[in-house]
Amino acid sequence: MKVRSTTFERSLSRGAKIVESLLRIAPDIEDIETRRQSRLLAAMLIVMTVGFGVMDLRGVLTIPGYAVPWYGYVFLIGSFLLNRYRSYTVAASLTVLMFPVVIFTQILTFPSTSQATSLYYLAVGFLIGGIFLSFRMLAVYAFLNAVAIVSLHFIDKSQFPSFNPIVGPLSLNIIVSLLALLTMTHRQSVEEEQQQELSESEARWRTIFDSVNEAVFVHDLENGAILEVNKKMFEMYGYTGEEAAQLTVGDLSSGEFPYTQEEALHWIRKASEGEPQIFEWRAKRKEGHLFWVEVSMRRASISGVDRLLVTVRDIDDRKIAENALRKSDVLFRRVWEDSKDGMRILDDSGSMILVNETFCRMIGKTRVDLQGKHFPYLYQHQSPDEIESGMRAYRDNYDRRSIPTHVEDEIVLWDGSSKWFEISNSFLDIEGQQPLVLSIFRDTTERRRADEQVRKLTQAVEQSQASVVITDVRGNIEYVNTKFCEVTGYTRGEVMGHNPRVLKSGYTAKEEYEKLWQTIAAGREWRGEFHNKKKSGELYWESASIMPIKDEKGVVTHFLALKEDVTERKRVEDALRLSEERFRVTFEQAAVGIAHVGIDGQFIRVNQRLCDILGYSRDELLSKTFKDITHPDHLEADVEDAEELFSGQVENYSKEKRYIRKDASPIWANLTAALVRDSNGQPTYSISVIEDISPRKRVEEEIRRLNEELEVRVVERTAELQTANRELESFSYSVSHDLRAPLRHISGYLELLKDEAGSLFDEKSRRYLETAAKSAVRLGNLIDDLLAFSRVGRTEVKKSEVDVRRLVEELKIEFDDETRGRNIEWVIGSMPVVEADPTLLRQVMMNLLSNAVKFTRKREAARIEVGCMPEKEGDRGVTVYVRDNGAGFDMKYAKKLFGVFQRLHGSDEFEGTGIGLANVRRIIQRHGGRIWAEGEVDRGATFSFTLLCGRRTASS
Amino acid sequence: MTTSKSILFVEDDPRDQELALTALKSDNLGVTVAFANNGEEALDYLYRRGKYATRPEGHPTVVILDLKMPKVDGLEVLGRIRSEPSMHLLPVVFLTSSREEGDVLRGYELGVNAYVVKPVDFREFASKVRQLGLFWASCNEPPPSPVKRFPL
Repeated sequence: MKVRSTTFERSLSRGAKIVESLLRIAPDIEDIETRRQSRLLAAMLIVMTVGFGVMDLRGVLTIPGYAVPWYGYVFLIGSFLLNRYRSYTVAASLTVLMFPVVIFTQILTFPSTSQATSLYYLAVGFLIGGIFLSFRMLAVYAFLNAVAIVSLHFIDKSQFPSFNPIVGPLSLNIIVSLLALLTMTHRQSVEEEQQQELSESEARWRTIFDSVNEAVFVHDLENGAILEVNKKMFEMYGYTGEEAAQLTVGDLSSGEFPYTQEEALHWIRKASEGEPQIFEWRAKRKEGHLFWVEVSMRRASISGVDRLLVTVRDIDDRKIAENALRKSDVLFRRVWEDSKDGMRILDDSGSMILVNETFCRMIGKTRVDLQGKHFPYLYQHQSPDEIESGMRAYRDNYDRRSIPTHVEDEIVLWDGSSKWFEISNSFLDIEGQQPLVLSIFRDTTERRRADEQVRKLTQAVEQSQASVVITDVRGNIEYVNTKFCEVTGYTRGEVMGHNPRVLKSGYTAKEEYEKLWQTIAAGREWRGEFHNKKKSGELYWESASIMPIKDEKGVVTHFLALKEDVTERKRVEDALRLSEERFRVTFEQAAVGIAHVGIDGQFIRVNQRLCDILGYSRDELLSKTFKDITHPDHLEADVEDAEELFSGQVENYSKEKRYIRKDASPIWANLTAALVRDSNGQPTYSISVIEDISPRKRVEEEIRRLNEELEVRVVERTAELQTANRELESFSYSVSHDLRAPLRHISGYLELLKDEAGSLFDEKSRRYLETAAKSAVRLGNLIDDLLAFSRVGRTEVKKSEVDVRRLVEELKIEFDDETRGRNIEWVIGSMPVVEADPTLLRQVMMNLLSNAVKFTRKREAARIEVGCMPEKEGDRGVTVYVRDNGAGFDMKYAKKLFGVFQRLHGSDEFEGTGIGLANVRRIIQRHGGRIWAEGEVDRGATFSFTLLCGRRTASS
Repeated sequence: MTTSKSILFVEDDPRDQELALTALKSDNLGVTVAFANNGEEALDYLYRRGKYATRPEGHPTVVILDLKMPKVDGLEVLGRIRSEPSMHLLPVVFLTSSREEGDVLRGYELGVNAYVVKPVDFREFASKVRQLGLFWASCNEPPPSPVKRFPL
């Protein structure tokens, strides 16, 4: 169904399209009535052509000799085409003209043409003419027709026997003509009447129409043609009435898109469809001036005809004002939003009703966050009390219209940072409204910081330890800092505006100044030194750096000089140079090798002497570490020592070691390495002093060799000595055993003799026997003493601690028997514990005491004193003495006292073997001490010996 | 075993033998004194061999030994006595001229019962010999006889 219906609709619309295209009329026809007539004409012409075509076709087929009236078709088709493309009026006239032309041609061609036929044609022609032509035209036409018929009658009457034009066609024509005239006249009077009415209403209407202050157009609904306009339109567009009739909507538009004819027709079409349109339009006056209008279109029935009524209002002024307003609005927006200052508008309640983008950025909040909030919102760190008082102050100020115009304020932002703002407040008075308060915020944080920076820099420059001088381009001083005044002795006032050449001493070369000026004039920095003069006349050295100061365009505006008094530095440098020279000389001329060794063991510096010692060149040594040239035997210990040194555990060390010379020979050296630390106390390198000790080593080696030889010899000798000792020992043994036996026998047998034959001998003989016996005993004692003496030399000294005083006390008791009956005063002082062989010391003391007892025998009051005195302060040595007041001795024999068999007294006076003191001396000597004697004949003697004290303290 | 006390005097020097005998006799201690001229003889005597093979069984009360003797010296004799189970407890006294420390030490180490140095002076010598005889023969209780204690 749907398909069929669609096909039907399609063919219907196709048919309609064909009809539409057939009935097309000339485009310039604007009058709707005429357009309709034109369409009707087109339709009639098609019907007539087809109808005549059918009749003629039948004629040709049925009637022999039938002549087709082709000129008729020329008229028909020509009229059709004229109507279609050119002019309806001409086409209609041509169509009507076709009928008399056909009939006359028929008559001329076929004289037999019947009157009925000609009447028929004429009637059809008049009928059609009545339809399509005006009555005036029809009357004229009928008259012309009548003239044609009459003239035809007069051409040749004989030729048209059956045709009486007077009776038929002429009368018809006259009738038609008269009728047309009558009708025309009647119509005219009716029209005039109507016209009268119409013109009255129209006059009223026109008055209104023309007095409207808007241009009014009446357009044809169909083609949009301008049918009528009012006076205002002429005024508005600058056209006259005649011109206006020719205008199209395109002429009245600016022509710039979208104000083109096409667009205008589009609006018209839309409005024609019944929808009123109001829009603004860019209109054009005749002379081309463009202006803004407001167009209102609506469909309206005017005198019963549907038209499009268009009113146009000139809104150019309004538009200009609007544009101006918009422009000012845009400007305001731009200024408001693009301002580098933050802006905020507060209302009477202190609410932020408008803020600009910059303000939002400054505060770090969005517009949505801020707008509508009260301004204390910005001070979120303040207490509610502070906020309250702030609000109150604002309201008071607002009421008094005295808000402070300039405020500097710090705002702590939400991110915790704080910003300084310079806030300018002003009232905005808007007519009829509460005044608003505009606050302009300027972020002065940077400026404050910059100010601070400038202050700091100024301070820095002012306090700088360098002299700072700023001059203008001519070199006149504009600024000097305190240091400058300190250094030069000039006050600021003295140098201000002057040239720094006041400092010239004349010692700086002229060329130097020229070079300086060339450099800085070329915009570059100059560095150098001046030998300048202070105000006091004192000369000083200055290290200066002078540079141009340029403005942003690169133009030199000032010169800046930074200067430092380097007099002291120069002096120090000289001293340093001297010291370095001394060092270098010392280093190089030293008779020992010196090297600076880095922590990695690498040689940093070496002197020539070291090169000589090691046989390397300086460069070769500097590419080596001390390990490379150390003898393998010392390497491990050496590396350890170096590590200890470089780790700071020791400050220095000294050792003897061997190096390997370049020629691979070892060389003995004494190395003294000392650590050098940097100013932080970090070990940096070591100073190694390397002394060639190979000559000494050779001597030492020789000594060692000799020592070894000596030792061998000593061993040999010792062995010999031991052999001798052993021999001596066996000798002594033999002596002690074998020598005493005979003595005992002598003694024994003498005794036996005395017992057996004593009575036989006289006194003298018995004395001889006695003497012999005594001699034997004496010899026995002598042997005993000698053996003891010999034993002392051989036996080992086994030291232990001996209390001398106790020893003396013990020994004293042993003399009790011997000294019974004698008057002996023993004085035994306090004595120390000594280190000695107890047995041997006992012998010593026994000997000395027995001597004392013996040699005081002849004293009535004998005195024996034993005591000690410390040897030296702090020494462990002690001197023990035994003093008596006995026989004494002559000091000139003092040395003989201690010799073997040396006696100073006859044995008849004091018995003795002469071995005791020798033995004593030997014992003391074996203890590492010494012994001496002092005495005087008959005044006593003192024997002193030294021993080492024991650790233990003496018994009291 | 003899009931009378006996002393074996070992001395290579006949003069000393004489002097000693004189000293011992003069006191009439009631002891018999046997003399051996050297160590070998002393051992022969103790072991009853050689010229002493016929001597009656039994050990002397004390053996007085000289140190330095030809052939076998006193120390050796002492060593043999001390190593012989039948007489290791036999009292032995050194009577010698040597007062060398080494001799004294060695004597005691080998287990000598006394060490007496012969004085040069005869009176002293005689006195010491007499004292020795007296002491060992009468004062000192001799060790029990091994034969008694261990009958074979």
